[in-house]
Amino acid sequence: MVSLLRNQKVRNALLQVLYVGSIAAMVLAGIVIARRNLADQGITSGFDFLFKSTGWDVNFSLLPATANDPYWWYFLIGIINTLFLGSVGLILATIVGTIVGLARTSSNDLARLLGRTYVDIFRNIPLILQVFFWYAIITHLPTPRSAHEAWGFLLTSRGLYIPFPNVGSAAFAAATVAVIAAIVLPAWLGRTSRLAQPIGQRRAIQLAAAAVALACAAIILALGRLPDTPLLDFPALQGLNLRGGLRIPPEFATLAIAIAIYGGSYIAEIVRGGFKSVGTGQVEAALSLGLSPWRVFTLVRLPLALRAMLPILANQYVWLMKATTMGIAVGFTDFFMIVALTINHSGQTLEAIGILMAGFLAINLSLAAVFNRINKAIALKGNQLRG
Amino acid sequence: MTSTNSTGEPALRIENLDKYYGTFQALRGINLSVQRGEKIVVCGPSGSGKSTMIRCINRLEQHNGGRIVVLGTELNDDVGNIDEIRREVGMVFQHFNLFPHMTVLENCMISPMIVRKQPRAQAEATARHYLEKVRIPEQAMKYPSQLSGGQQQRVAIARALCMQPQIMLFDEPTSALDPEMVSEVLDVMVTLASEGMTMICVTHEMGFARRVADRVLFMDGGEILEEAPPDEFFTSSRNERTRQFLSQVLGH
Ligand SMILES: Nc1ncnc2c1ncn2[C@@H]1O[C@H](COP(=O)(O)OP(=O)(O)OP(=O)(O)O)[C@@H](O)[C@H]1O
Ligand SMILES: [Mg+2]
Repeated sequence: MVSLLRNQKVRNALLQVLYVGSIAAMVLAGIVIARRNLADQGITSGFDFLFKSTGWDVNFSLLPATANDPYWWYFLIGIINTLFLGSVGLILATIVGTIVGLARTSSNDLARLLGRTYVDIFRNIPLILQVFFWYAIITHLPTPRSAHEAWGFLLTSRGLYIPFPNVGSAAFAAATVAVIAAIVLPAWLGRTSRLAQPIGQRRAIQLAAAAVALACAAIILALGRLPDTPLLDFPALQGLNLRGGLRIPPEFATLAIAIAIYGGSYIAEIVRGGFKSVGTGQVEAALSLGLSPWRVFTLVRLPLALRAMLPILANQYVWLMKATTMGIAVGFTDFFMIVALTINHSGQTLEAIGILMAGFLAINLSLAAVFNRINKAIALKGNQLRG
Repeated sequence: MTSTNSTGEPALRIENLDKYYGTFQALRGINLSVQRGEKIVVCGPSGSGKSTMIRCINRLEQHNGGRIVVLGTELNDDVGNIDEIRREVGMVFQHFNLFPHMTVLENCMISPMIVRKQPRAQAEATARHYLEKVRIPEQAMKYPSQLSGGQQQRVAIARALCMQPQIMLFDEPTSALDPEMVSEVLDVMVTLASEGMTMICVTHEMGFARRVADRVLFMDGGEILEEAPPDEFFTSSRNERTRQFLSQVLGH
């Protein structure tokens, strides 16, 4: 018996059982206590509330929404809002981070100083303060009547108005998917056909795929165009209000800017680290082969830096995705805010929080899975350490 | 450049070359002239400036004084000159420095395609030709980290040759290799030498120096202390520092 306890495998298994057992006990106790409390307050537990209409409104939705819609529809709206804000925020943060990160690795003293100052400032101020700061600035922009205008864009305290194609929303969504496919497909084909096709054909296949996808996008836009309207709808003042174009509400703009600037400061550090990890040897070899500094950047430094950056970047993205929950601070109906409102109005606290956790878990696990796939696909071949 | 060939301009002319790292002087008044087809072996103790000197020849290091004229073109701040010289001067490094994200074939094709604007098919044919020459045609589709050190260094030589350079620089090409792989790389270099390539090799492989070198240079403290044909260099060196160095590398 004693000797059995000394066995490493037995010990590990026992510890595991104890660990899982104690967690299960805690969860079970929580559920029992919560049920009793809820019953005392006369609240029925369960997920029936999902099919009741909410009776309140959301201020931002990519899907049609009325107060008569059931809770499950609102949760869907919330998840889509979170994904939308997250994607816009992450893309902008990546652009900002790349620019600042490259400035930090440049040989120009001033660029390095500016990059460093940026990172020091925006990384060290809590996100919530930055959100309030940008919200204050945006809501103090001029009224629609005296809006700032440039190239058909209007900047007002009611939000940013941008020109928008006159097409149905379904057609617009389909065209967006086609444009994304035009970017993703060639990259994916480039990987999978790497060894199968002779090198000369690979580029042609990639170009063809991109062209087909872009052509699809154009056809969809042409078909989906609203009859008797110009291709682009420009926002313009009519009476006291702005009509036409697409309005980006101040709440959304605030959060997108805050995530871009705050996230950008973290991503800048990742970008800098990635470029620092590229060996000088490879760069010197490329230079000695007569490649220009720009080619050395695009063919050697960038691809190698990307491989070093991607795993850390994936963590950062998962983490920034959670920053969308700042929506509640300015009243943007992201997933978290919808859950909070649901708890207020329906009292179904446990169920709503369960849905919130499951939703974020699903979003972030999918994000991580996508990045794992990309990572695996571009990992340096034949290198056991990096798999 | 072809016009300078006929005028008898040497492949490489270095005059009074000085190089500083900050306040530290790594090269002191180097003078060297290398004819076309000549093979030069450079040796000397660690820190004597061997790498610095050959890295100045293709501007991986920028010199601070004196002149470097490569194939009739002077190395100065003119970017056009630098590009022209780098196209004609190949370099092989101690640590191979292959591009790990490209296959062996891609490593060899990239520069001819982009710098020499060769069509893909031609670049691939050239690459396969030189991979054959360094005796690893079967590794073309592998990635560098799937090869042994000796194979990687031979790929690096093939990669440089694909640019069809007129001068080849080698900076200790065998000193990062396991002993059993040294000869496969040296064999390739000997073949290259026998075909008339102009070569400048930093190496402590004295057997190689004996076989192929036209001249052996001994450097110490940033200066060329001695310069002689190999038989003279190894048997009857007058310089005390050279004899001491030789007894260390040849000794044991
Ligand atoms: N980037 C640099 N910055 C400052 N000093 C340097 C740098 N590179 C080389 N040095 C110095 O210049 C001197 C010559 O270096 P170099 O690398 O040319 O020597 P080497 O003869 O190639 O030596 P080894 O046999 O060890 O390769 C050394 O004292 C070295 O410390
Ligand atoms: Mg050296």
